[in-house]
Amino acid sequence: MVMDYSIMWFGFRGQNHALGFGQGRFRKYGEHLNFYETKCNIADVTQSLYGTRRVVAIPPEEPETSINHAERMRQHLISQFQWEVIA
Amino acid sequence: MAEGQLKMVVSNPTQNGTDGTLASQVLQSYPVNLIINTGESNHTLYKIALRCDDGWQTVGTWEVSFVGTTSARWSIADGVSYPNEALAEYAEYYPSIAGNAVINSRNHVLWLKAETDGTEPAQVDTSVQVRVYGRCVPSGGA
Repeated sequence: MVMDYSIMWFGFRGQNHALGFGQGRFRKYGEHLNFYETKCNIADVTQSLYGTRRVVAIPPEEPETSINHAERMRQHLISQFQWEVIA
Repeated sequence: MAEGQLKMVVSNPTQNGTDGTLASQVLQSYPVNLIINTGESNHTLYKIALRCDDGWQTVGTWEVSFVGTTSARWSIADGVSYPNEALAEYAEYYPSIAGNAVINSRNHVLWLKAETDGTEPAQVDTSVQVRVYGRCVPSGGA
């Protein structure tokens, strides 16, 4: 925001009396003084570090289904039987 | 931890909430702790948030990045539009992130992604740290 104070009003408003000397010298009639608002952020700089733990794991094997287990046992028994017959 | 700093929050924080747990910076505390199954290319997502103390907010750009030996296996995405893990799968992940959105005392959600290429042996990798950088001012001052 820019506030425009004119020295034209010098003598009419008390606060402008002081503004006339705002930059170290008396202002001529009709001369403008511009005042600019400023903002200065004085910021705290933050830098932080956080540890991580990345576990690379071997997934568990899926348990064998009972049907697969029974079939495997059946094949095993058949193979054993055949061996004994041949022997 | 100094007042007014930009801090990391874990334990499933919600966007714009004040829930979750402030992460500890103590060495060997590992607030980001996740498991990935090896054997094939795979990844795991982990939700974090950033927030300031009450009465503080960020000004300018804040950044989150990774430092450490295997930092290439980590990436990050802004989580404002991705409230849950299923949606976060569709987010775009980058090696680091910088944002200008003002972060105040409410959670700003981010998603971390840790990957494995399937050739890694089973291991526990603690070589990487999450670096959070920002500048904070009292609220109303910016």
